[in-house]
Amino acid sequence: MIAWIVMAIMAATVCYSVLRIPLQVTDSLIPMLDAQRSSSVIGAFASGATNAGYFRPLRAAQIQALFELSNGHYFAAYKGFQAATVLVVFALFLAVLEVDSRQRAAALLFALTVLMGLHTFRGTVWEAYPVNHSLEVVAFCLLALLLARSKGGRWTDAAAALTFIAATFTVESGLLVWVVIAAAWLTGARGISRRGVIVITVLLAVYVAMRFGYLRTGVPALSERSSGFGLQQLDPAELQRRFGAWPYGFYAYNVLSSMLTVLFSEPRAGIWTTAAEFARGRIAAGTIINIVSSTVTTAVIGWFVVARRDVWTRRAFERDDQIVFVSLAVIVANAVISYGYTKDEIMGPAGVFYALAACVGIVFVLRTVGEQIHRVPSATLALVLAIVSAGWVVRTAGLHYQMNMMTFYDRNEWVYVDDWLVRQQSVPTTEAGKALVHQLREDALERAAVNPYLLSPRLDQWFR
Amino acid sequence: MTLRANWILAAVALPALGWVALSAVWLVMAVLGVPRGFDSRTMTLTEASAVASHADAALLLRDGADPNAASRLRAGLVKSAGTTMTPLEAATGAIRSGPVQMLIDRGARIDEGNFAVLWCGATARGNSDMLRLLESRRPERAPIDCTKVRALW
Repeated sequence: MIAWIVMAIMAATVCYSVLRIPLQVTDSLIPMLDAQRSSSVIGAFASGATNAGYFRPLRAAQIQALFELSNGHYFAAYKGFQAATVLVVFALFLAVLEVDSRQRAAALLFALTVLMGLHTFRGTVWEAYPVNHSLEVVAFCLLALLLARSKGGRWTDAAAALTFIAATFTVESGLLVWVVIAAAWLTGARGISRRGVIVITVLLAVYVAMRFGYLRTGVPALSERSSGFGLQQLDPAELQRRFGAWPYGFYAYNVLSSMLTVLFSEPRAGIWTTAAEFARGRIAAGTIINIVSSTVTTAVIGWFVVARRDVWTRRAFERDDQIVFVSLAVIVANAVISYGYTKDEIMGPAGVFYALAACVGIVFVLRTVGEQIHRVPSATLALVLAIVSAGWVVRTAGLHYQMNMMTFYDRNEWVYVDDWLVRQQSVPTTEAGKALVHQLREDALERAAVNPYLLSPRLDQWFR
Repeated sequence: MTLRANWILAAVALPALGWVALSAVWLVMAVLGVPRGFDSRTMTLTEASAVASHADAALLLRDGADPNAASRLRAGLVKSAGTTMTPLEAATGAIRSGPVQMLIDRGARIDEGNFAVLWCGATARGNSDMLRLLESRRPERAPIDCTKVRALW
């Protein structure tokens, strides 16, 4: 019960910050104008299935459905849905961890700060496109793990298949649901039956064949967006110039960067911020906090894996082994499917599973120390863990600070929305379209916001 | 559990528990609308210009704020103490690419009365955006002696 109260408070703070951010101009406005022009949810679904480079029919259908259901209350509809998704993610996170002891309760507290404090979560949670599909995929992955570790049955298999379909039809990273199910199966989780796993694997094959064969939506091109590399951000033209002839080295860099950013908070979006900041003369305190807290947490997870290697070799996985094994699989798979470019938010699912693994790692440390299996100096260990735990708390506070920054920037963007629409060649031509833009602009400007510059200009150094 | 294990457990849990307590207080305060001081809607046009809040500047101008009037500028935004100055002076002193163009579009004047103060302020702050703008609006070509001009801070 206490765990649920703690979870609810933490989730409520995230919802609060999410609800302060206006629907942003970039990524939200044009899809909403499209929804206004679209005739039906089915039409939007069909359109979302045939966009060049992407296969996201359910995302388009959701945007359309919420637009139609909103009855003109667009902010309430989209942001309400986003806040509900946040609550679902937190609830599933807690359900997966099964808090049934003092150690697990303490580890849950730690894990919730890892969940919220990790930089990948920030990008995952704050944006609305106007439906936050990144957060939905996280929910689908957690649900898949919960189903895999349930008592099972025919309905569980059906729910797992539906989860996979919903996730993959929403956004490409929905494929991670299959990774969760397959990895959980390998660890002996039999909530989803062998037949269920086979059916979902067939659905995966159908998805791949449909996307690349029948619909020929292909993959995003190198020239589509900027990406971090080394110490700087490279624009599409530069990416094309450097890697156009042989992009595989760049792809390998992206995969490695994506894995490292979850485990060590470096590099960030492909850019090695420590080196970049050092070159500029000063490494921010926030960068140091990020790296130290992540590295120690990864070391704790690593300690668990090393200690349990014999159990894993014998494939005698227990509850916590399953969570860590699946988490590591999701981190690797998430990095692999993000080969095209690096961005903190696309590693959102990996970040959430990292937090699950962190919880297990901390439980392991608490039990190990309690049983005095290892002769670790307790004062030193307590000090290190207290520092790391405090570091994650700072990062959690940073999540809200950064979301306030987003509120500030997004409100400012709405001032110049007309200029932006001209640049995007998307100026609405109908009265209804103009009225929609006007309404969203007024709604954004009138919304209360904490101006980050009124807090302290130095906070930026701490919250990276 | 041993005493040693309790210590470790406390080390892991207490920082996060403290954050949870703080979060609960924060949520209650948010519901009550406290503290109002951080709410951007409490800002003057001068303050909105200093912190580059285009949205709040637009709202204030829409509601009739005078872009040439000196108004309150709270401590820490440009000067360490609270003071009074015009929106253009605040934007110059804060070195942020604030809503200067918006202010000018809405009637903020750059003339012989304030040019020298802005120019010297922008020069002292190294505010290159403001210097470029001022250069294009220089009312006279006479040299300016900044030692004889009112300082912004």
